[in-house]
Amino acid sequence: MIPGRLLPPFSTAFAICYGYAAAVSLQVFIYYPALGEFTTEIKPAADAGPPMFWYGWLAFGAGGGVIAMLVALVLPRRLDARVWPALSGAASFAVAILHVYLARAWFQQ
Amino acid sequence: MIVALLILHGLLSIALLGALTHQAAALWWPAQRGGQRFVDRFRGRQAVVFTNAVVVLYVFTFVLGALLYPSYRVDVRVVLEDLQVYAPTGAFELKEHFAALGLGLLPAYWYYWRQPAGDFRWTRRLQTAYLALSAWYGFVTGHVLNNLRGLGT
Repeated sequence: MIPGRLLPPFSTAFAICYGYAAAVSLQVFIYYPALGEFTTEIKPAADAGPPMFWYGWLAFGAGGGVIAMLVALVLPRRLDARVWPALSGAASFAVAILHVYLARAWFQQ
Repeated sequence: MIVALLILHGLLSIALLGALTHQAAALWWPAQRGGQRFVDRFRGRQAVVFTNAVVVLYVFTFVLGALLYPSYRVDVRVVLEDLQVYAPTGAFELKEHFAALGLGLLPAYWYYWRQPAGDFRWTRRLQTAYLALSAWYGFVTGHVLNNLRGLGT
């Protein structure tokens, strides 16, 4: 059973890691829906069809979240009180706003 | 099959919107005591009762969306890009980011809704606001995109 106090660090780290991975296209793997294939290599679109990075970004975010939980597990519990409880919500808003900014090119074409 | 999944995805998202909107309204715009109007009753729900429903509905809606996503990528987005219609594609990119961030937020959301209310009032408000806004954005964007070029058409 995961102690509840480890869940906020997971959420905060997930937001930061997912946001970073999506911003710089750092995916753990790529999915090619036309082939039904997961891979780590980028393939030519003419052969493999369009790539999907989103699942790979989710995996990167989840990995970051799990690492944050492990770090929180070994840190003294008294440090919990020093972390702003709304940090996970604020991180989600901040990353969402960053991606609105990064997506502006789609709306300027 | 894809169309059935899409309809189920839409129905679950409506239930999710109901739960999140009730909860957000109860937190950000609480009802006055004794109010009997429809709006007062809408705002007057006990916010905590929606938490587990929000978590379950969000996860199921997200999983269905993730299963539908490959069909969108092959059948819809490629066509929109060929037609040089970029704004809907950008709107969908944001939908995927907002939804993913909401999924990641759910563990903390669930945790803080199980703590004493007075200690984490603003934390709950912020998290619920994020989830409600992301769910509304996802619903409207998905609906518009389906009108532009629906799956299975």
